[in-house]
Amino acid sequence: MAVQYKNPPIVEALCEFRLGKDTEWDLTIPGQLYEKVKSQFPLREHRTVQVVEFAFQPQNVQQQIRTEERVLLFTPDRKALVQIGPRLLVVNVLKPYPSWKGFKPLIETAWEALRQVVALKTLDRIGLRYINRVEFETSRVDLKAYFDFYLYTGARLPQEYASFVAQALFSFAGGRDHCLVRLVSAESEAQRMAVLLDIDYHWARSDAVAIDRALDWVEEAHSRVEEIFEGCITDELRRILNT
Amino acid sequence: MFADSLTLTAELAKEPLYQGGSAVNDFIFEEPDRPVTLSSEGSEVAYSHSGLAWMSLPGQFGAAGEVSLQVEIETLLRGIREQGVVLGRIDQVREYLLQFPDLLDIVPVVIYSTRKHFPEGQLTLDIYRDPEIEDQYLVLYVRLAHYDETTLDRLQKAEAAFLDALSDREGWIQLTTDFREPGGSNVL
Repeated sequence: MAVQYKNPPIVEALCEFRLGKDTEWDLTIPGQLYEKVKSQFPLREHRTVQVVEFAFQPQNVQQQIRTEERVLLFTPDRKALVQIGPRLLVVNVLKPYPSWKGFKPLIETAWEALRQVVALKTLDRIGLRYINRVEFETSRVDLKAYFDFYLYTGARLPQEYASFVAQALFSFAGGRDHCLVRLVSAESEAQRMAVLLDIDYHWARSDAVAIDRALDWVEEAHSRVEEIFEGCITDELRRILNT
Repeated sequence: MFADSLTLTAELAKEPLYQGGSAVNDFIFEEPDRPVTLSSEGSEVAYSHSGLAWMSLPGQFGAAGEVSLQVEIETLLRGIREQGVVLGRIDQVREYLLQFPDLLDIVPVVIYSTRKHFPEGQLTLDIYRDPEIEDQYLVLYVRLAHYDETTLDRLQKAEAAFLDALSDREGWIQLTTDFREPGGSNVL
């Protein structure tokens, strides 16, 4: 975030590239990518993730759950990683957030490595996402004191939530980009309330930007995310983040 | 043996045991009229550009194709709690899963298997720290109102369902009992 806080709430930031299905992909690509980035991401692991897809047929929609193998490449301190899956590249940084100046070069490294080993044809999606966690020292909190983006409930409804989700999809750049903003309750230690503010700025449609301009788009997306974050919080939360 | 874990995972997806609310109907498509086609052989497979809203699938472990570790962990913890599993030192459990995300798909399998063999037990997920060798790992405690000669045998059977799949992971989760009563004191 452009505004520097003493206690920044960012617990994870990530940049995601989803390649078009016309881009050829095979099982050797994660290994080739690893060779390109192993000086920065030497720890190589793999994991299985569940992917849910929907099959649209003439009469119905069918849910398909399949597993997908991902290769994870970590930095030695395990505070940053690259995820590689079928036509998927993600660069994640974890808490403590290394600043945009530290994060962007990691994105550039992974992206350039991908371009060296894959003949990119189309991109389905690029997304830049920041996940912020704010934890309060009490179990009941008046969210509107801290957030300008929150769930409003009328006076006739219970004012105590077991859990909640406030979500909105904003449109940017003349509809080219979308930003999904979510404020959700999070699990926390007893007697404390925690929320996640998840800001996911991404393409609204495939091939929104030429492949050669992908990193320019990422830079622009970062500026938008900063503005959106500042728009979501109040001065009271700013004060806490600076305490 | 790795296939066993996949079988269990698939079983998990079919059964309502781990679903705190509705399932597929709760997915939110932001643009249902313009899906992204992934394949087309008599049908179209699609996903939303925004991904699937991770909080819109309460209780289901692992959001679809999720790429955020924090969100995946949060979804997992929420699902665990909704299943009545007690979360111990939750911040430390979260940190451990963040460090060893290769456990994220197996923790539900461990809980599922344990619940199957101890339907009456209280399960507690916590972190264990060995101060002597600076080692730590996740631990799932089974706590029962009554312990008998079948307890250890059942523990072994529950463990057999995931032990082989766990062997090649960077992280570790141990199934055990501390012979305490549910929410109570040591029974020994």
